[in-house]
Amino acid sequence: MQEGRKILAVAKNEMFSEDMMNYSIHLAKRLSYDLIALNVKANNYSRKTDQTGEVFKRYAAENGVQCEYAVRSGDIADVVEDFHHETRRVEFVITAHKEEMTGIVTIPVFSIVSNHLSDGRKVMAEVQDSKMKLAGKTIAYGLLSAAMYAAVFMNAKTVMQYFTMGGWYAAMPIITVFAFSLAHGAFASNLWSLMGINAVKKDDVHQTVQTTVRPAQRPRKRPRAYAYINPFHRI
Amino acid sequence: MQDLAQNAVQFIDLNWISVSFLFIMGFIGGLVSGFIGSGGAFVLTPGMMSLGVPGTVAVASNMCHKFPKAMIGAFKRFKYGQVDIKLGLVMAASAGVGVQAGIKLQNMILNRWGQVGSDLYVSVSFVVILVIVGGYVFYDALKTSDSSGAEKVSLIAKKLQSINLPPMIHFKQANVRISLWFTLPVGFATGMLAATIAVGGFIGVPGMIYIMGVSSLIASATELVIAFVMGLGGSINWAMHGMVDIRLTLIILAGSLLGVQLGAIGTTYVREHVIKIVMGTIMLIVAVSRGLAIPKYLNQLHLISLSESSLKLMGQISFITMCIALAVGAFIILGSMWKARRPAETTYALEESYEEV
Repeated sequence: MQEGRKILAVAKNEMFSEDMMNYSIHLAKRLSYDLIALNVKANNYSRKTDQTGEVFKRYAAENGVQCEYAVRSGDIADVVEDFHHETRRVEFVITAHKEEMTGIVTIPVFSIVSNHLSDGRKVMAEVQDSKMKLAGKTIAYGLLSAAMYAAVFMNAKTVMQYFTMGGWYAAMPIITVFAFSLAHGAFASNLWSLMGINAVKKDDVHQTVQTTVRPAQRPRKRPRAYAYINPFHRI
Repeated sequence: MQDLAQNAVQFIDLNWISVSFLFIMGFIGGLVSGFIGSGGAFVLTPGMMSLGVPGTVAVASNMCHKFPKAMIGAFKRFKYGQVDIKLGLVMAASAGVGVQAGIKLQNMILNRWGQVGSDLYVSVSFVVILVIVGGYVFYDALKTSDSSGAEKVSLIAKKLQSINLPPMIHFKQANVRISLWFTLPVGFATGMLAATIAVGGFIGVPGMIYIMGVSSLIASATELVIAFVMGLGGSINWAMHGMVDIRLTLIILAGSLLGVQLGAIGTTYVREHVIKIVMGTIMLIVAVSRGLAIPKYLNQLHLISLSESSLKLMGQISFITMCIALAVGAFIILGSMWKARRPAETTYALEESYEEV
């Protein structure tokens, strides 16, 4: 089994921008390449770098792309050149630091300049943030519905007495279930998203349907030129 | 009237076993109804009765949990663009009439043949309808899964859509243009079945699919709107008689709100024929379960004679079969969600590479 071809996405000091991450992951997906995210630390730079890799890998996994994350330190051009020698089938490099690599790195280097602030940490922070927010919401709604349940069941006797009086008192159980379904429903909805169970986009569903009926898979390799034998040669 | 209800009805004491039973049943029932638009009620009502809840309270409490559950499920699926609100409301209106007719018919049978006759009528109609409709849904699901997997509009639906009998209604989301006169019987039958066996969706969803030509995704989602409207009306009616045991309702709701959302999410993972498979399977197993209840009524009418113990056994098997129906449905849903999760990603990548070459 041959190793998959790879794209190398390189950034300094974990400054992967959102554009770069999206572009490299989607490109890898379109080309059916694997992806290696390489974080090059400056020699004097010291900060724990475990979050970035996780986020990168998660994004890639969501798109069905094989992704590895590597951390090296030193000069960015030297590191990339060494890395491509020791890792097989790295086809090209995507980075925001093309200038520094020119003349040293011997494989194609594509530059991607983000029009956002090139602070990658902001992206990571946002991803983390939205997750935190979701967790916060889940807990808040969870507590709210727990409190509502506690309120009803601790006073079960009184509640039952009034709620079953009939007539206009009928409004009470109806309003109660509405209120519960809003609080508890919001909790349930957030809980599933927090667990990573989200709806697949409609387009994706249709695409899946199409692919399953496609007859045969083509080989991954691009067609190569073959020798042509002239049938009239003998004449 | 209200005092009478108060005195006659015994509300049960709850313990941990009954609470967890209701919660789990609520969850599975919610999962199934989020996915196929209805279901769960047929297990919950007898389930509650087996805990010692009186029949009317069980029906009332069940219905009172059904409409908020349907509301949340419908809302969730509305966000995925699967709900045709206009279709839901038109169907719900005619279903409302159907419910009234169903109750009238039930009372007529009750007056003429008594409780046993009424029970027998319910069970027989259960079995007959479920076997015919469920069998067809299941057969159709197998057929579509064998061929390309794409859903085809049935011949009857095509024919009915081509008849230009005013007033014609265009249902935008469902992308169907059909005469109002053909939607009414479907809604009416849904309501009638809801009044008889408490699960209108077993006729509403196949009716929308095969008679009106709506896709099963939209039909099952729209059924939730119908369930909401009818459930709300029914619940208000029961609550006015003071029959709703809010504790039971809330416990079931706790489970079913989790389930209904998972089921709704599940519809976006799978191919459309899975909805039909789940529906057909559940309907057929439930038919078996109700079929097992028939000898009891025949015995009471002295048409056959069976020993007390064997009748009791059949009753128990009937209830267990019903639970199995729901469990099998939930199993298929979760299984196909699990399976759909991975291949969706890989085949997608494959297709793209194929286009690049």
